[in-house]
Amino acid sequence: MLAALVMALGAACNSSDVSRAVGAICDSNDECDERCLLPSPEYPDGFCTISCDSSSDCVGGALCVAIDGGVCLIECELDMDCDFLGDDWVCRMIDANTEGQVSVCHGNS
Amino acid sequence: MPRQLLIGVALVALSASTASAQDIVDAPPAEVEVAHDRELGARLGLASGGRMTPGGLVVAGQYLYQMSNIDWFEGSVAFTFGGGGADCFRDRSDTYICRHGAISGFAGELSAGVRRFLKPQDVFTPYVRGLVGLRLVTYTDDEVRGLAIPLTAAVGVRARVSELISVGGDAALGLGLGFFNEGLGVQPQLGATFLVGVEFSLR
Repeated sequence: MLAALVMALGAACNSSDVSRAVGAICDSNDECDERCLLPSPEYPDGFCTISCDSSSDCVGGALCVAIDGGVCLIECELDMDCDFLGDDWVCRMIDANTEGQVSVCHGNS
Repeated sequence: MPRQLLIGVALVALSASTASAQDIVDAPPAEVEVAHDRELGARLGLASGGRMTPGGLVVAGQYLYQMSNIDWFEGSVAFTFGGGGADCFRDRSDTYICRHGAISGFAGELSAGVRRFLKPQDVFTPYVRGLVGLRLVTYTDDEVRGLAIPLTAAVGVRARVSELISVGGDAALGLGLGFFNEGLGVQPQLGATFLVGVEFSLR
């Protein structure tokens, strides 16, 4: 019993790089706090996100990009920074919702 | 000779009274003014949980039955009402994870154990209690349900305000394991509870 409790406590303490707000896998909006970018070549396995006007509206290290009126995608510098999202995610320059471009994780479409 | 006899009797009487006083000092601590051997109580308080342990407003009832001078059997039923919305999601490895807040979810729990009263301090009687329980846990917005086995240890104090009524409160720490649906499997239960209430002696 004690060993099982220690193992369960250890497993429960494991953190995740994503959340219901930004980054979780999804097939529908019900699985996210706000909206799901449905599974597609652009968003392999789906991607929970929130609407934004600027990057200050985003959480969890995400930036606001000019897609669908402004959504948050995870910031990156290299493709390997997106490996935790899955095999088909790469780092790309995308128009920011304000001005200029930002480097975020996106599907390798 | 009679004087020696009197001295001997006095010495015997003195040693007897000393032995009697020593018995009182050595006696186990007893709750002051225990009028009856059964009690019913009600308590209200707050529970703090998190992740897969519910927290929120706690409403509880307990039954106490005296087993010895200081030990009472305690049976309890408690309900925890928390808020919160959906807090479970699938991470990028498709593992279902829940990150509920400290005061979210619902729990209904039956538990049984022992309460031991300690030496009274003025009008207050401290106690410790240990219980094992069976807890139904639900997080409605996530459609997550589970059955948990918590172990509870608590310290408290109460005061008898009349022949039949006592008031008091305690702080408890609960630790255990729960078994949940939605692929969550075995999850730890870890929380703290603070309760105040009243207990009535039964005639």
